Amino acid sequence: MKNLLFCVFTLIVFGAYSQLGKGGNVTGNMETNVQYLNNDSLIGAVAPEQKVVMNSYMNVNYSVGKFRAGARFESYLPSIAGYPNFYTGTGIGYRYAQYAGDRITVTAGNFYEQFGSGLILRSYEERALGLDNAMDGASIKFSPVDGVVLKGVMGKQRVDFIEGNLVNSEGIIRGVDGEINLNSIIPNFDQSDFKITIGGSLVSRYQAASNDTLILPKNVGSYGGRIDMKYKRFYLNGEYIYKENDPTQLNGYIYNPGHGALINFGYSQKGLGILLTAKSLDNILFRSDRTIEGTQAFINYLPATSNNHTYNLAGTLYPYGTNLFGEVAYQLDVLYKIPKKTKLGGRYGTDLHMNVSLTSGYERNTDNADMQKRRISYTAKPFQMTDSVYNFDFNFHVTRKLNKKFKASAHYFHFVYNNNVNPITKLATGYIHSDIGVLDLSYKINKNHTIRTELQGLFTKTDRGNWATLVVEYTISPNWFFTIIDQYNYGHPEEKLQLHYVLGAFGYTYNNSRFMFMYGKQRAGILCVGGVCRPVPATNGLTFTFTQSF
Amino acid sequence: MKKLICIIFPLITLTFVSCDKVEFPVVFESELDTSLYPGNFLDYEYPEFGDNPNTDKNILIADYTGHKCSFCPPAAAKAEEIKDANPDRVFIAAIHGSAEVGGYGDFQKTDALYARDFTNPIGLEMASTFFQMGIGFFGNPSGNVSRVANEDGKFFFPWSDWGDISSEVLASELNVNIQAKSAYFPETKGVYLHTDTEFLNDMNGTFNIVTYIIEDSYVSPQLYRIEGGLEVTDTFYVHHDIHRGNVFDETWGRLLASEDISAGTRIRNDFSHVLPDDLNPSNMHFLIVVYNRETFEVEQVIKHVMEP
Repeated sequence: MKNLLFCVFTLIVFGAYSQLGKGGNVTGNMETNVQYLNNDSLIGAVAPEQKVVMNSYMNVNYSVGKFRAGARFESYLPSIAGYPNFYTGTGIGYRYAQYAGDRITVTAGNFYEQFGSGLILRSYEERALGLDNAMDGASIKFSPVDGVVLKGVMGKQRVDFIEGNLVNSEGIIRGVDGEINLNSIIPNFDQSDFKITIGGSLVSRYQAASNDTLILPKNVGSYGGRIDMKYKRFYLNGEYIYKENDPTQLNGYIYNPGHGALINFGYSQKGLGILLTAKSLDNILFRSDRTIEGTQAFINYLPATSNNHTYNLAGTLYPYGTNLFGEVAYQLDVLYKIPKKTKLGGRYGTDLHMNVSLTSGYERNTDNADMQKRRISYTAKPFQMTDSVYNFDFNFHVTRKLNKKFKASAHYFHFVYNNNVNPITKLATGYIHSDIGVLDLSYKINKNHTIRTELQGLFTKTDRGNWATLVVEYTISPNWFFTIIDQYNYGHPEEKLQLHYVLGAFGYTYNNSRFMFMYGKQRAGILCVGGVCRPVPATNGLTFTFTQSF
Repeated sequence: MKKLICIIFPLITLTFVSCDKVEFPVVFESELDTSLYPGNFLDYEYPEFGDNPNTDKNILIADYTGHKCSFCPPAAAKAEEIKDANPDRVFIAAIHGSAEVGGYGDFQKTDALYARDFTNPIGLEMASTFFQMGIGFFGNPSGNVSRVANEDGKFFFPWSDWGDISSEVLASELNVNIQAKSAYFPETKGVYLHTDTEFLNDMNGTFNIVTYIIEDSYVSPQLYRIEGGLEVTDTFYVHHDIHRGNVFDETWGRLLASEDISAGTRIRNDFSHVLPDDLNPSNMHFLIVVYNRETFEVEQVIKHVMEP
């Protein structure tokens, strides 16, 4: 109720201001997803007793001069299949008021924020995952001189949305961040080919503690620094974060410190890009409530060190999510464009993309462990990896435009997924090896009509066996599209479960409005975005999606 | 740049102080008061007990006395005599308490000459309780030998009877054995006392364990009676085995076992206590007593001197 009053009051004030002739601007967007679900025991789809479910969001922002205010209305009546069940009811899930001056921006209410790469603090929304850890408090951004940015935040975090009421974390987050571009503040350095920016962050959480057996730290701090350097075509950036003792439900109330280190080294020139990433994480997950598990209350963000694949079979059967306890990972990304009008490159050139990543366990030395007195379960050093592979991902992509109408791409993926470490299926143990091939063909029939097909095959000797997918998509620009997808699990070890998952969809776009209907079966899988994952249940039914921006 | 430092410094300071480093997080669940241990309590090594070879039943002579009680020194002397005749088997607790409600009578009062208050709340409570029970406690001096009662159920007797009763009790069967070990921490004046009690025979009843704190000796005036009935003060009288209170400040101790108890039952207890400031650790000992909570009869008592 307080939220509602706050928003109504804010909008009335600014609305009245606008009516007085001072001007103003209203922007926003709306997204509605409605599902009509059926039971389908064969694929494991379960219809809720309501049969029809809905997620709906509407952002409304009002700005006048340097002031801005807004709110997001949310409805979960109840939430769509697989969405976190703590999203229920209708209410205001986000509201804020902001002043953005030339050198200072102040925000009250909800806001999203990120320090550095996010290893120490990242407040963001990833709607597909049901992840929203918006801050609720106050933030200040201040740039006293060019090249210097200071940030300060304090607030609680959104953890639940129950019966239309925003529920914030028990813990209070306090953070400061500073970033200095040395080229801007050091005289005569701004023209140098060598560019350097340094930064540092401090974040702490306060949460009351009451425990009969452990003295819990009420204030838990993390801090670190970062550097970003660039010299001509090379660049190197890195961030290191250290977290003090943070006993939590997830880590079994150990008092180990945590660390996170992320290093990127790159080279880029026309037609060639190389990026090498190294990552070391250990007990660095930081939440605004020590008792919460799942995808709620993240203060920081643990980035994935593998590509987020978009093709259906590659993206949803064995996707890798960052191990929350810790991991060491390396990734190499190479992009190369074979020049056009060459024998290999063809008339339009050919894009090659190779990506390989390896994620392994973190070496935990228990020789100096002291669980009895200090609850230190191991000691560790950054980048010490074990021979236990968590995930291996090799993928290679070739994309070529054959003529003005025809474009083709071929993709190969090889995954080695450790199902013991991050269990994703009950039908397999240990390593799951899989190979995936995709052929993506697009033909432009005329100016407005395009047909695109995907032929996908996944080959594995474990879990549910081999899969084949056919996608046919017909687009009539700028208004219509039609799609048919058939996923066929022809290699399932149980013959009766060698099923087709057929899904048909069409959409219509009118100005800023978009309608989409989808009917059919969707198999159970895993949805990962940026290393954060949630399971998606099997469904059978009709889905209607509407989006509108204004 | 100054402006920058002025802004950044307080913010960094504020955030840094908002961090609790917990070096020893484990809250150890113990019967002992862990705060008495100077250091990390998890470093404290609990002592182990082996088999107890003792076969003798010891006795406790509780001498209810007062420093203004002129008849009392002979009782104390008798108790000492019995103790000297049975070294390591007879132990004395000189309890300064009177036979009246509240336990505090004229014999225990203090003044300029009799400056030291020998009483303590536990001794007074015992005196008051036993007086009101009507079990023979009529005045000082009076006492009991392991609270062994006669046929009338009375267990307080004049000191002239203590010798015979002691002989009988010393010859009786040993039912309970006790061992004790301790650790003393001068920094906190804290004591950890560990006991191991073994029931040697099948027994029935409610049995408590209680630990008396006994001051070995203290020189202070005592009224005594000389020939002719004249009362005089011995300014340099040596008071022995003065009861200074009980561990845990529990008058009747704590439950050890009840109802049917099988032979061979062993029970471990851990006690902690802070010694009074005016008590010298080298001039004291503990008397560890196991008794029947219903009859008050003492089954066994041992003397324990703190280990250095």
